[in-house]
Amino acid sequence: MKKKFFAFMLVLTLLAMPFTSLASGDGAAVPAEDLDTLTVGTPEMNGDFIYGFGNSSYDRYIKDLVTGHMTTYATTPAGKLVLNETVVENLDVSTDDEGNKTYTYKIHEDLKFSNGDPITAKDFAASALFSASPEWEAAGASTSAFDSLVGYDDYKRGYLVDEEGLAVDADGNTIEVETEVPETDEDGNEVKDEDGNVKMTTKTNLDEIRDQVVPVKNFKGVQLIDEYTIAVTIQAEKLPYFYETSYASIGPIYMPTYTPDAEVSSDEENGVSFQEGYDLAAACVAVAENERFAPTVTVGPYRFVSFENQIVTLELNEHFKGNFEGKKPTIKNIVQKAIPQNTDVDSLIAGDVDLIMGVIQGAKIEKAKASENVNVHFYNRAGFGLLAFHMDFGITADQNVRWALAHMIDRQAVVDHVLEGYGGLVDSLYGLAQWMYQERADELDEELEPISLNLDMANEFLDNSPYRFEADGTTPFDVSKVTEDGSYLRHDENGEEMVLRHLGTTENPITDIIEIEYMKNAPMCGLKFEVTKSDFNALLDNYYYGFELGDDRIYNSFNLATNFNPIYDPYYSFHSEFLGTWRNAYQMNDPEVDRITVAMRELEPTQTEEFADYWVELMVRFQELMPLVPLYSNEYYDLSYKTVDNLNTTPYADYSSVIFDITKSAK
Amino acid sequence: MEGGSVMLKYIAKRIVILIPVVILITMILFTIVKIMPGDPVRGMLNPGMKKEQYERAYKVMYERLGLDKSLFEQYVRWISRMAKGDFGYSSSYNREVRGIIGEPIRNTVTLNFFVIIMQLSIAIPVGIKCAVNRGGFFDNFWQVLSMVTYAMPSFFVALSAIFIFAVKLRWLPFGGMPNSQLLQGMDYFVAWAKHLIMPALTLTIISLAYTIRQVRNAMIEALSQDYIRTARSKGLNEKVAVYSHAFRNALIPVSTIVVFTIFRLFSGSAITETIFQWNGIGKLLVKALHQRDTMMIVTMNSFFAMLSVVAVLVADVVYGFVDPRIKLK
Repeated sequence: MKKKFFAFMLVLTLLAMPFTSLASGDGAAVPAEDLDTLTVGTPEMNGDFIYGFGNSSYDRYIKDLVTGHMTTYATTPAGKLVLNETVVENLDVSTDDEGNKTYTYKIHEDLKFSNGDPITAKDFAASALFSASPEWEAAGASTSAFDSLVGYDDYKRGYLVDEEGLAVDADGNTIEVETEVPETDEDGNEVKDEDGNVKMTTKTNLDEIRDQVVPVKNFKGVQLIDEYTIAVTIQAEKLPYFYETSYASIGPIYMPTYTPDAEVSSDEENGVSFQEGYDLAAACVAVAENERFAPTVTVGPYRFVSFENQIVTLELNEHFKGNFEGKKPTIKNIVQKAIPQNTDVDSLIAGDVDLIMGVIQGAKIEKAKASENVNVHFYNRAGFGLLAFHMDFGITADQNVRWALAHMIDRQAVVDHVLEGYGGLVDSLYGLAQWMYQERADELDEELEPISLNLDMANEFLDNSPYRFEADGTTPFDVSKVTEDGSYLRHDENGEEMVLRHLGTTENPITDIIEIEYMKNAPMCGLKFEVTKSDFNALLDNYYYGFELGDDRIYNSFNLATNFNPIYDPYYSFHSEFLGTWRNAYQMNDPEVDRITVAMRELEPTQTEEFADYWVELMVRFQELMPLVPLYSNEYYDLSYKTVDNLNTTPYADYSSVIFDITKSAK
Repeated sequence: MEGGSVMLKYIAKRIVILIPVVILITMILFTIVKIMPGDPVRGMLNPGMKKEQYERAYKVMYERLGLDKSLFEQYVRWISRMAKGDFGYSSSYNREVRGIIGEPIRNTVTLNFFVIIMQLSIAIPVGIKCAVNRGGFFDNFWQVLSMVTYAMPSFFVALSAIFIFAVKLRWLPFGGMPNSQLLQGMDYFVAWAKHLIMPALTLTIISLAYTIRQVRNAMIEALSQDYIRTARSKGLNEKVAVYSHAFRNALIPVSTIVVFTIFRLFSGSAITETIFQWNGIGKLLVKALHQRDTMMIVTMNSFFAMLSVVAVLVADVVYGFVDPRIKLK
């Protein structure tokens, strides 16, 4: 039937093509004038619509609208975590003798799934058992949900281990599971040592000892108290933590879809588990292969209808009780579709779409402002664009060099020429929209040095760096001899030229202006500047994984941008514990930063003043170290058609978070 | 009956010869794609995971993609799965390639179906008329026009079409596809046609010039033959001379051109599909290249390579049909 319809449509379309354009000229309403439907234009989506799969921001809008807003803690538009009182009727927090902290939630009894079925505490418990399971990871999902709860490690691993991480049998005896096997490279070829012998390595072969290990199918840190009460317990070693409520947050899943035929039981000693023999692996695979692309029964403010040809259609979930403030959306349908990005503002002006988000290009913003059809809403970005350095490699390993590089670029030129004025400057690693900045802006501005183009200062810093000599490695570099063609360069005592090797992305105006600025200014400081332009993946490979490249490592400078989450925890990005990993991309190794980042995260959630104090201290230290040159902090423009009202988006709340306020009216 | 048997034998023989060609193409494609720099697994994982979780998830995905095997083993696994219709696992979509390409292939075929119909409906009569009126105004007009359109890149034609029909006249949508959920019946059909017009028009314009010129040249060649002169001198109706005699002979080179044009269109629609957000395989390939989605790239390129191979076969067979001098052996 579908094929016949398709063939029929092909023939009809062919016949209709010559006059369809005439038909369109009859003044038919544009999509934006349908007051029941909000049409959102985005770049292309991937089509992963449940949490655990994919990184696409545009998929995430749909995830949040369909499966979000039903967790015990919610993020406010200001970026703060608050108890979701629409879900939680009562909360009790207690700490045991070992320091583990238990959050006991009594959930409201009138919560419902999108098909009208009641939501009970079992659905929350099943969510933890499902998301934290090794079966879910094996099905291709990547999530760290519930990883701070008691018993997570055992449950995630699937079997018991001793203190050294080796599997134990039912009597608690260590099982020898590690056998020697040939080491292989990424292509599966055997690795040989200098003498040509195959290198050996140890490997755990769990399959060989599957019948000896003690399987763990229970999640100790989650307790089912009664039909509407559930408790989660955070491990003592994870506390104190400023964002500890994020550890304790939990939401439900629809068990007949996610875990069909499963029963959740709970006891005080072992926590929750599914019934013995339950095939969770099959359930996880089924969700990964079906539910993931077309969610069926859900909990969010909208129900998923379809995703075809890069168009997602959602309709109102009448059973949704409300967001954390008890608000419900009023718009009946949401259509999110991929539109050409070069003409997105034109599409909006023409009424093809109601809303486009995150516009930063000056020309587009000007065009939108000039149109009577467009409402303009903007906010400062909780992030910034930057020139990042590797602090462990090449000339940028030296602090004076990094400061000199910061004085060799006119950052205002980036704001003026690339952002066309729609942005501002920051002097350390922060975004203008972060609450810490908003509360401590004056103090921070006093503490930080303004970074400006100043070639004299750049030379002064370089004179204090290893690169203070001429080519012979002994004659001091003489600034008066520099030439615009860059023939007179600085060297270190070994006669090594001072070269900055920069990697940026192609078709990126920021890369272009960096190239212009350094080509112009670097020769005046005796610096040789080389730039390579690549695609974004190559940039990320070199930026995050440069430490792995060995002799193939080339670049020590990169331009990219970053955003800050509501959960701002710099520990993972800057602490020396993460040296030699992609997380600490700068390869920063500074005891002061280690101290401050640990101190920040170990505050109690209520210690916001202390958190802001540490944050100021960290920003100052960051500037001293200059791991990066902050280039700009954009203004983000969310643009809507004139029929759309109350679009109160923020850096932390896109349209899927503020959908409860958005309305449409004829204009 | 005998002719049909000869034809089948010929096709079977050609297919057998093409098998090693296809294998060689896939080996080259697979190797090129695999030696491209970059790690497909990194893009699939949630960077927010903690170190141990990330490493564990990385290992799971690395093995799932078969990257722990040698290059040769990866190829053998891939080609044997390909033969069974399993095109491997897409790293950018984190799912089976097979589950992704169906809808885009349908859309690309649909788009190109209209393009071919439009192209041939215009190119054949215009090419014939140009040849018949060689050096006249009509011929000169189309010669100049075809040179101009031939020189225009597809993105220029596409953006010009958007500027005229979407920005200025507001007759047509800027791109994308229609929504089958909110539009029903005739409304959906009209929306669908509106979305199709600009990409189809762009592809028609950029491919038209070549086809017109080839038809024109073939016709000029046919019209200059002795048998046409003889036919005309015998007082044969001009239309009969042109369409029954000259065009039938001109059809021989034209048929080859048409076959190759059809297959070239599929690979040439990548830019147009991307500009108009037409959800086709061309756009899919562009995205795969950006994301270094090796399985998707190699599948799409194999698809295009196979199309070319099939085009050669079809052209040979068509030649046998239209040219009685050629015997298939």
